[in-house]
Amino acid sequence: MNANAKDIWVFVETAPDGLAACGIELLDTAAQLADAYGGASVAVVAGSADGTAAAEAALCGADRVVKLISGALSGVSTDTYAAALSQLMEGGRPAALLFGASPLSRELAARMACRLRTGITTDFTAARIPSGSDSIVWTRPVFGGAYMAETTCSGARPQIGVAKQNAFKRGGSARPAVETVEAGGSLSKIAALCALREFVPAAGDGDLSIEDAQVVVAGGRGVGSAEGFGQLRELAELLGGAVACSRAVTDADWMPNSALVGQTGKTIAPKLYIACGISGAMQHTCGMEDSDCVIAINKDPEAPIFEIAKYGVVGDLNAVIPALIEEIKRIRA
Amino acid sequence: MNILVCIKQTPDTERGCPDYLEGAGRIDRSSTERIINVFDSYALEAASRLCDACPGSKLVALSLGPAEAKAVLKEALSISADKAYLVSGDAFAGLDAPASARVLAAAVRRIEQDEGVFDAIFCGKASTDGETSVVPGGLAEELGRALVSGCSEASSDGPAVLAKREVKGGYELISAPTPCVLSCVKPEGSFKFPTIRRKLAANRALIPVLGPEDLAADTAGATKVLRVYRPERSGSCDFIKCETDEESAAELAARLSADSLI
Repeated sequence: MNANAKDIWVFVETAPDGLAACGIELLDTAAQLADAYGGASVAVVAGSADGTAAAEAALCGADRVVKLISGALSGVSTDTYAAALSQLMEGGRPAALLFGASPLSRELAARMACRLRTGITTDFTAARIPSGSDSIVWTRPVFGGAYMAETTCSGARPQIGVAKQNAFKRGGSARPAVETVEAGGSLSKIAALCALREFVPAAGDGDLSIEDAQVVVAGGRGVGSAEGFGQLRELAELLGGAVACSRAVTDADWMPNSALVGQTGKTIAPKLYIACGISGAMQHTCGMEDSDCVIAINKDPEAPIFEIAKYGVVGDLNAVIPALIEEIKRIRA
Repeated sequence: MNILVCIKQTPDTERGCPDYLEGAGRIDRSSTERIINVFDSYALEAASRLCDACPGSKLVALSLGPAEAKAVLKEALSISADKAYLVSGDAFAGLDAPASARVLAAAVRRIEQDEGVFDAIFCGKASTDGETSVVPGGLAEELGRALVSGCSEASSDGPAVLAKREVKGGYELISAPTPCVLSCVKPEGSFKFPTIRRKLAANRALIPVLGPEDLAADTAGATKVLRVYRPERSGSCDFIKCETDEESAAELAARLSADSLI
């Protein structure tokens, strides 16, 4: 008898400050799926010795919180987490195992799918159980969002899903009875393969990263040159934001790779995203389409970026942006 | 060092998106030009730099795909690879990501009988068509080897490889014992290009093909695609059109201000 067969597990990572960092946004979905199966939503919280992240998980939809506590667990060696999750499953495999979109979670999910010989759907944006079915139907974008696909894993368990970055917002509410257990003991036998030799802080740190910025001013091929990014930087500074770009820009070496948004770069979701001279190919928009508000400035009225923009200005960047900067200064004065 | 790089042939998604075959309910991968998966070109570059730093190294390229995928192996040979292998066969068409990892792992074990154990296997972080980023982790798991994901540089460090990985606020140097698997993002600096001499040699190169009969691998996938469809975009853009760009900018600023966005 597998005691876990109807349960939905969520792997929750803890940030260095002890707060839940990734995965906690999936507990609401996990609770809904668990209700459909008649099981429990379980938060497997890694690296939370002081219990802060575990307490957060208890408030966001977990029926049970399992604290993984072991000095052997290492963020640079996911084999340790894979071993720990395998040990937790000795009592039986859950119906599903959900992961957030961090690099560690993605890497661990890949390991678990192969280790357990089961199916995996990455970048899911929705998970539901159709009535009469025993398996989850996952929805995920393919080809940078040009298409959507629905997938399922009907035989093997657990069904593994990795959420798309920024697709789920932390929510959910506390369940009636939350049980918290600690998994330690045997975990100490785990030995990490890789070791962190050194962490080197970035030079000139203190710059706002595009992942953290609430406002992002992004430029594409239409900006025309490395110098052209000067006015974007000025606008970003005025709005307390950061400057990002599309791939044509990093390919031309006008901006560093760290500023790249899209399929080959970062996925971000700021409050305000101002796309300047970006046509809006899927390879770019898949990295920013979850932004709260998108503004597009482009000289081509047919550019696909306008399809996802709230406001659009068809015009010359070199006229629009300086005028926008002056107008914002005037409004604020 | 003895190095392997895994290379996938993918549609050139930067230049267009493959067509959707309405009746068949699938995507026509032949409708776009095919290139080396962008992330795999990063893996090839990082692997080449490690080989250049360690005289006497050997760089082997491996691809899993249809017969046409030989094109990307020839490209790898013309840039920096010393030898190439193709894994191909009808039984390998349409594999899901974990099954691809199992087949690649079986191929690695087979090739290592001839080429020796690879100190490091370089992969791209993800493919631009499947976009799962499952294969590097799956390969490490199947082979029981250490894994560093998302690295941009690797150097030899005695019995280990030292991998550089960009993280928030800086970078990590991670020591992985060999043999290991590394998944790569874009290395800084300029890339190696094919030379005429290498191109000519690549065209003449013999590329061994490993088929289902050469490899003991379970190709059954657990994931099934139910349907593929085009998402609807809202298309509710509010265009601001004034006489001049300056007036449009002023109107935009007013709207943003009214929405409390600035």
